[in-house]
Amino acid sequence: MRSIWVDEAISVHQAHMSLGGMIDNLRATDRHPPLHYLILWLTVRLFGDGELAVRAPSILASAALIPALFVTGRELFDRRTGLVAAGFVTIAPLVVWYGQEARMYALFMLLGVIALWAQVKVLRDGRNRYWVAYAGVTIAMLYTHYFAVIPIAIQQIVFAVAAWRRAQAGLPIKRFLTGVWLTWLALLIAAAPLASFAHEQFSHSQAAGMGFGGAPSAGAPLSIPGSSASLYAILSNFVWAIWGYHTNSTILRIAALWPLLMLLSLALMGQRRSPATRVVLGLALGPVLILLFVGLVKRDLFEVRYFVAAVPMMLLLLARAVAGGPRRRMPAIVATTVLSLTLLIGLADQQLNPNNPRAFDFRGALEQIRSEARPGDTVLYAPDYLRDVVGYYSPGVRTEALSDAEAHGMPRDGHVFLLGSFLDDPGIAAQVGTGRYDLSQRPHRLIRTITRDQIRIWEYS
Amino acid sequence: VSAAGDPRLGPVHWPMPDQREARGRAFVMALICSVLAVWYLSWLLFGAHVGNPVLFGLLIAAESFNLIQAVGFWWTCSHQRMRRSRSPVGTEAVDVLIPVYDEPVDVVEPTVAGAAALHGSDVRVWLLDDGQRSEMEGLAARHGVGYMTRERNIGAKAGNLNNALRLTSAPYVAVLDCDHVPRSEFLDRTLGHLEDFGVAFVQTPQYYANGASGPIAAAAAAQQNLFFGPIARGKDGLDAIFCCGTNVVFRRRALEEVGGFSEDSVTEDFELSVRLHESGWRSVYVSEVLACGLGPEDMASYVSQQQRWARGCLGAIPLVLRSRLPWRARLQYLLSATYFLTGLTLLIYMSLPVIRIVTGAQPLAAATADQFLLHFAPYYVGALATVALAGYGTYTYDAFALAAGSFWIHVQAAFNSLLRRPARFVVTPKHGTIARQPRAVAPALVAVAVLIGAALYGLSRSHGAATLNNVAFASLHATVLLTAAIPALRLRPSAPLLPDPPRPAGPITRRRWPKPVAASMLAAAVLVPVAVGALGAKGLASHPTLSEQAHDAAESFFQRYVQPDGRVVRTDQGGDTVSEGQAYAMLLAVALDDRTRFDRVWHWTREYLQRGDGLLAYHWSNGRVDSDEPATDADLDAARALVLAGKRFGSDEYTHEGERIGDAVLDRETVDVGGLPVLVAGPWARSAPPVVNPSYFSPRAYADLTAARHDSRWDDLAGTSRAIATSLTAGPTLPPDWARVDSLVASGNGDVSASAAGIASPDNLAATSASPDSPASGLDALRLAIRSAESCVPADRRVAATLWPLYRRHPGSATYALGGLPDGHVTHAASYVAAAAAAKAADQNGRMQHLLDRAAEANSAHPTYYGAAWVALGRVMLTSSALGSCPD
Repeated sequence: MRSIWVDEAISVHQAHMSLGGMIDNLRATDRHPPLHYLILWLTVRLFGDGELAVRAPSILASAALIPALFVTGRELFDRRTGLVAAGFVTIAPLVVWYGQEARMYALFMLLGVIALWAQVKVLRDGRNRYWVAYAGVTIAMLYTHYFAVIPIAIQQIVFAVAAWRRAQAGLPIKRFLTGVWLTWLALLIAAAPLASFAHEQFSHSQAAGMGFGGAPSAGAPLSIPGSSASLYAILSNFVWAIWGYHTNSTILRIAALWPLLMLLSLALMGQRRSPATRVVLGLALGPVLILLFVGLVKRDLFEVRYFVAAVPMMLLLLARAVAGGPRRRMPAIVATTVLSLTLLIGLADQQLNPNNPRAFDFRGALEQIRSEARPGDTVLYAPDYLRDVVGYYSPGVRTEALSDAEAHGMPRDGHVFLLGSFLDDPGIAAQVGTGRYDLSQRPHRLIRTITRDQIRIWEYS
Repeated sequence: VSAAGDPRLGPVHWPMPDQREARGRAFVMALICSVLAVWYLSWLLFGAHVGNPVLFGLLIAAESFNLIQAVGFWWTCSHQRMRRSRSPVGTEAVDVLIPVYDEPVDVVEPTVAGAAALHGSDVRVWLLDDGQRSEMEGLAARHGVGYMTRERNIGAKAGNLNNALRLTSAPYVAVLDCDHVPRSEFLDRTLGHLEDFGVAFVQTPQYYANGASGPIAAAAAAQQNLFFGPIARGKDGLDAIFCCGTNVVFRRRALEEVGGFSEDSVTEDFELSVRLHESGWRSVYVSEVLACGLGPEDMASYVSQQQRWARGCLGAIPLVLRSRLPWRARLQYLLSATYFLTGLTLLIYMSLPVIRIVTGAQPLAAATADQFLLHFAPYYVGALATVALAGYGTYTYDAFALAAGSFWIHVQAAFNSLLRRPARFVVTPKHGTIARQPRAVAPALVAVAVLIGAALYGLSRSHGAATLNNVAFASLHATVLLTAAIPALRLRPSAPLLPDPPRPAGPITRRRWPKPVAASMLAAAVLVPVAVGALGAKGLASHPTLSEQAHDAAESFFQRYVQPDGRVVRTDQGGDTVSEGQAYAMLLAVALDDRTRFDRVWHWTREYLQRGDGLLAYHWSNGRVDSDEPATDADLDAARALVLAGKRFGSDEYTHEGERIGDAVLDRETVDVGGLPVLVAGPWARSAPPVVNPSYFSPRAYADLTAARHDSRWDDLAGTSRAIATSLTAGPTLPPDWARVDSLVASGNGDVSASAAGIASPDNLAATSASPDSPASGLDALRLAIRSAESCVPADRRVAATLWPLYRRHPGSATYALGGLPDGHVTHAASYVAAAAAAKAADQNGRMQHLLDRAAEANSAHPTYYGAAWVALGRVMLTSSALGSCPD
């Protein structure tokens, strides 16, 4: 299991607070709604804060995603599509990745799929239980991630189109419209406290000069920072969504295969698309396009984890394309096998390649320090937001942010371990460089450097 | 013949959109696409992106032609007219002419039966039999229709029709191909339009009903549906619909006025339409399927049909140009006729990735794939969406692939038209064969073999993004061509929907592939990689032969130290950037054959570091240049990388930039000593005595710049640098990081001898606490061994070989005393690379490999920017010809 990383450590730290304290902390410092944090708070109380325990909710959510996608695929298309989609989601690198992360993304994906299933049942069956299920799941989605408003809005458009078509066909729509209005009412009532919560978060975030975004992000973006909209950025996010996280050069290479998308677009010509396909297409592409436009204003919001709920939809579409598209059995088997193989290769590279820019070996780095540090030694770290992850894997000696040490004076006694990460960020690299320079001016001497995945440690005597 | 199973008598699938909706949809799409086309073309034409001028010209020509066709399509579709059928007021006499040559009875009989059952007029059906077969005569008798033959079959179908025109007299003449079964209301729906006396003919769709009989028939039907759907309706809206040879009703007077059908053309209907419109007659299109026919069911039939159409339409271009047609009609005729030049553009598109992979030449330069995609993708998607929307989903991928797979027919027809070779009328076969027809797709298969061969060759040479992009393009074209070709390579699984004509008794033999086809495919697939491999063994135009280790080392450097925007970040040294690092990355990008990365690194360098005089500012940190001083090694390496990139990527712009920096190096970073130029450490080091950094001497850079610029000063610098290096390493001693040049003397035979001495640090530099007290051979100096070992000149390599006994004893030390003893215990990866270079120069290749491996291990244990750069550059320079090979 990979090391806990920054965002997870922050969440675990918050989960250790009292319930009221955590909510206050979320309101003041975080940018996400509280559902996953509440689940994590409960998990920590029940099972402790071990890596497996804090990730258990995500592991369960991603495991539940498999049958959920099967049932949804079967309901929307056919059994074969459902089975293939379930197979894909089992080995989909991004689903596996977030299934191993103590954050809300796995839950967001699961709820997105259940919401689609519930909507389809509402449209095809219309019984009250499905309306209730749909309303409950969408409320849970809203409380899991703010960007759930995008798929929910798309689903409301689907409801509107369905109502219009029923009216055009002369079918009774009163009961249907009542269901829609009641769902809206439930959503509004449930979202009211969340609105105030979000507003406070935004205000605090604005006051801190960050706006609604700017969370630390692992891995350098592919597009040229500050440049105009980059189609390669879109392609990169698409590659991440399907084939997971890899080194930038690998992503660039895969993105360079974009002419094959021309082939796909040509192959789609003349293909009839069912209403079910259109709904899934909307849920797969809608959030991407909307966040792309948002990203033109605030670049860091165009990131795959913010439209992660669209990933199962993409996998469902792929399953439909390979298993439901070709009429004959053999092409379907070949296409499914080939796509599965590419997913497996992506999964292996994502999980095992030490150069994966999103894999940070904080555990290994801090365990090594703990095994070698003596009382009186100090661990300095940069950037500041490593505080919680350094605390989670406590090295057993005094720890301090590099910025604090520079403000108050560098430690003079014992060994100093300077731990730096996110060094692709020029600002952080410069901060670490300055720290190293300052340390070399003291009576310290560089003994050695230690390298871990995405982490470097300089040890000064 | 039983009607059961004949698709011509079955239901019709024909979308009939509302005129307003169809026009509006097309108009909106046309508007959007026009904006997108301007966005793309203006970027292409005015963005200073000319790479190889010839390829750029070809690309522009192809894109312009296709844009004209696309604009024509949008213009046509946005003028669609949906005419309502008009029944005639009276009961006029109509001669229904059915020309037949060698078609089987079972194909013709439903047509004759359908024609005999036409109502709404005084119908006289004539079977015009150029085959003079008794079974046709019997068929005519069975259905009570007239039967006509000729003694001499002059003028093919046109002659047959003209003969019938002479022998018949009804005021209206309907023409039906013998495989097109008319619906009983055919005349009811069309004749009313001819009550307008200015109308010469009423055309109806040529609908292929046998789309379900196989992939070729389905694709051909989809192509027809696009033409007889939005295109024909649009031509009608522009008063330019032309006669398509069947399912058409003429006014006899109009035909007689223009002398009937042209017997000199293989597309007599097209030319007839031109003459009618020229004479002031009008035409009408009724977009309603009133007759159902059979499309080609096998590839040979399709090829035969396309050859006739392409040859006929291209041959009619001069007629259209000479005609006195209204401009709209003339443009419409030209659009239809020149469509058959599309194959030439496809040939260009297919050639570009092959040329890029094989030679490195490409049409565009100074443009990242991202920029290209940003401008091209919206245009492409818009154009594709317009076809899909205008055709109401009837145009399919298979139809597109079949058209693309016919590229060679267009090319052949274009050349035949240009050479004015006579064309021959060939009747399109009405029955599909169940045998394989590789001959019909042989040119497409050869193209596939070339594309796949080039792709495999590219993959064997590089896995860089640029190569992969071109491999993907080649694969795209190969897949499309294969989609079209595969149906011709299979035995058809079932018999065609109509029964086959009688065949000789005996089992169906599986035709073996003709030897010439198989041989040419095999030859192309094998010879392309072999030939380009052989070509590639020489010079830089070929692709690099990077070992996996060299490739990985270079990739690792990029991954760890090069930002996506092209800035090389010294993450281990405070996140700053130096011009030297940018130059290293440029060299490595060339070695990786990765133009995208090269573009990014160079663009960042140019934007942030390049000074007005062309040289590069040495240091950048915290968002700005904090030292404007240039460093000669970086300038020289950057100039070399640009010149190499110009050659590798086919970009004159890079070459010019490299030459510009090289000129600035000569002008501002050399100094005259004893009448000879000396490469100094920077402009600051020119004052006497000049200060040099021997590790800046780069014999290969001199050679590459000499080849580009033909400036003899580079040769002089090579001589003086060698002399200084020799002077400093005589003893032998290791080279110092810094040295002072006291004198240079040129002997009568051109040899240069130098007097130089190592110094602790240049006096002009501010002394720091870290400055050594005496000359040392540190991380700077080690590069002399590498650059010398890389040289093609034996005398340079001897300099490196001289150092081998010194490096061999204690390889890897970060700093040495000049005598060769390590100064301290710190090791550095780059120092192992220097020892490896010395080993190579001393012909110790086994030791070289071992030391390179140790360098990689050292850098893995203690990664540094400088170590990673030299591990990669060392592998590239010492073990590959990726930066150019030495002449034999």
